[in-house]
Amino acid sequence: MVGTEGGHIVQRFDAQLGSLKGLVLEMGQLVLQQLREAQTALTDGDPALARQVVHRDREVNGMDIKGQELCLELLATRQPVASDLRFVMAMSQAINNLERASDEAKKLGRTALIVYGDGGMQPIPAIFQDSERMTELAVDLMERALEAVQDLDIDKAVAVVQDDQLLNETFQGGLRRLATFLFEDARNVRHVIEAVFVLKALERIGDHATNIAEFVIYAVKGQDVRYVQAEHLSSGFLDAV
Amino acid sequence: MNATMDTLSDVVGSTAADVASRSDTMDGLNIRNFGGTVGEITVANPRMRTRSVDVYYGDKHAIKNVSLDIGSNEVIAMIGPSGCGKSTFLRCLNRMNDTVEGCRVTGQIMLDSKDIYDKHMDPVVLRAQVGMVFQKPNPFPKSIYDNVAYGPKIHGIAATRAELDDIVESSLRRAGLWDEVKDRMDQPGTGLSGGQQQRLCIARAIAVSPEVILMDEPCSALDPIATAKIEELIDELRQNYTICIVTHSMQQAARVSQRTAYFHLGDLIEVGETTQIFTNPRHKLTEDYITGRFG
Repeated sequence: MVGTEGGHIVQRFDAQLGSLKGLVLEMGQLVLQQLREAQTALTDGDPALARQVVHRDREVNGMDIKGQELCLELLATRQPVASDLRFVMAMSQAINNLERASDEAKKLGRTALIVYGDGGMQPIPAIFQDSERMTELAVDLMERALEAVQDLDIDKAVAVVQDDQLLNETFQGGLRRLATFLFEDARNVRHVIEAVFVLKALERIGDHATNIAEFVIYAVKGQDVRYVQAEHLSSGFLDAV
Repeated sequence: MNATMDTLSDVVGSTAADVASRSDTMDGLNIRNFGGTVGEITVANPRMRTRSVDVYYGDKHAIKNVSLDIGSNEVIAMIGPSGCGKSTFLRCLNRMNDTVEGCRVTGQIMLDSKDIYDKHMDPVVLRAQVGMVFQKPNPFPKSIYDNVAYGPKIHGIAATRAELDDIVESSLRRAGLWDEVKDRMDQPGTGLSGGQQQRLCIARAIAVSPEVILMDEPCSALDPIATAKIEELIDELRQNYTICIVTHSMQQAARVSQRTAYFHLGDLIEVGETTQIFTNPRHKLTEDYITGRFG
């Protein structure tokens, strides 16, 4: 097993690895909160909540810096190798992906501010209809990616990588639906552009969840599966490689 | 079995008939999983080849059925906890164990195509071909010049004083020590710093034109600067020599070697490319040891 599961002779090392994982999970919960509240701001037309999301991104950035410093400290002072090294590298990458996922959630918040704030746009709530479904899927993927981190569970990680496809398909469907708003009335173009940015941001959050899951696989198995087709991934495939 | 025999014949440089005559000991061998070792024990261009090596100190079975190739111009690191047999194995490679009372070595150890335990092999000649550098620098109580010149003299390598001078200078240059000692060649080797003494010992080993240099924890008595110089030297020496290094420092093994072998209780558990061993070892014992979980 990797990371905090096995007992090092130097128990302080175990504690440091545990702290790193704890920070990733805490950061992940904050990103999930950002995502949910950004969607609520869009759905409810709540600029105050949107402002809160935009502002809270700084907290995530702070955790990014703290997490990378912890990784650096572990590399410098413990010189981890094998599964420990892979775990630290994977957590560093997970932190990076969480920070970028938070940036995407912030984009949703900014859009909510543009549409429902003082930007002078006349809201068309139906235009963000697909974002609710996509947010559900993105939240689900990110939650499961974080569970895979928590348990260092290959099966959970593989499922996240494979299930990202549904989010991608929903994204494509959403784009097609947004096109109909343009066909109906070309004056909707500004709203459509904002909505495209929202859907793209959600699609990217799914990619970040997938990246985190792929780094869990790397941490546990030592195999870089970033460029392996999702449908080829399975526990059996990983054992055979 | 025939295929295995062919492979073995090629590997140990023997004829098929030779191998067949030893089939009682070689029967059922699996080159890729020899003696339970995980990883590839063979290399494309071996300088030394060991097969089914067992070492006993009286009743104690110190090395158990170890087979391993040591490639030309490679640095191979041997790691493992104290008492795992790594130094014992190293000392088999130039028959240093011959001097240990009660020590018995079985199996085959080949240098190029010669069995080093053959009755016609002169251990003194062997130890010139397979030199050794020890944990603690051990220069002779002689001048710097004589420390390096001693080997070539007794082996009759230099015909004239000028030739001897050339060997001493080139050996000290290769050991990275020439510039530091060229103006005090007549001073005692024991008067040098620890790191310089160790490089003097390396120059002494080089002076008799060895093919292989064995290093038994060569930096454990040195500070980080002297250690870095030795490690840099090891990297340079690899161009011309094969180097086997036993080290307790896993960071050093990772820094200097191309392949790493992990020993545990006399077994060769795993061998592989150093990068692979330190990023993704295949055996749990290797993983536990290098990550500090070994208890």
